[in-house]
Amino acid sequence: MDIFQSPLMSLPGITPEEYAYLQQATTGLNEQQLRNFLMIYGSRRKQPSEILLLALIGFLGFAGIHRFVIGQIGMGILYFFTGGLCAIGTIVDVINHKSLAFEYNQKMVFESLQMVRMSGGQFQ
Amino acid sequence: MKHIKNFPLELMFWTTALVLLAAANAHEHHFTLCPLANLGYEGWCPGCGLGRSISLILHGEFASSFAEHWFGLPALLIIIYRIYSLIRNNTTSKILTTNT
Repeated sequence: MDIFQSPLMSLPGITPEEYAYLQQATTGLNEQQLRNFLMIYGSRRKQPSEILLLALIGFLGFAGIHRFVIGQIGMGILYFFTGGLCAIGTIVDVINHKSLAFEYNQKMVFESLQMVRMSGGQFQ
Repeated sequence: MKHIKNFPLELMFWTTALVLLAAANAHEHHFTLCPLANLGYEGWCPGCGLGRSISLILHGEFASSFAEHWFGLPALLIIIYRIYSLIRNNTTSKILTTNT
């Protein structure tokens, strides 16, 4: 299939890793289900650049917002009250922002797939 | 190249941190990366206090750990949980997406 015609490419800032994962995850969905999946998943996924920006705010004194956003409340509290573990944790997360986003997005793929399958293709 | 890209940086970071804290002596000054401590505010830095607190727990001194900072034990549990979920994600790196 031509890569530019794949509806997955409409997701902004999609990485090759995420693309491969999504292709694997969405095999077996029909066209209607794929459209529903993309609608649900697109509204839930986080872009790596978004995580990077939130992590960079850590250098201004509000560390750990990116951890709250991807649902890691405990780590968020830890980062927030220690200034990102003396800024060292923030630096690690700035380097690591792509894996953090991908880890969160994998969970969202799973949830979106479940929603699509539960609706049985009737979801409008 | 693929191995470098898939290197679990965060997992390494947390385990190294815990190993170093377990090896460190919390009662004396040591080499540190902390910018605040290197500026001379060692008694005040929130990260260093937590580090000493966790280090004391790993040495079994629970009372002095609590006196250093009450959040030390929760912080240790949070980090251990994070390590656990990172390992789980690495071993089952592809979440099974077949029919539920």
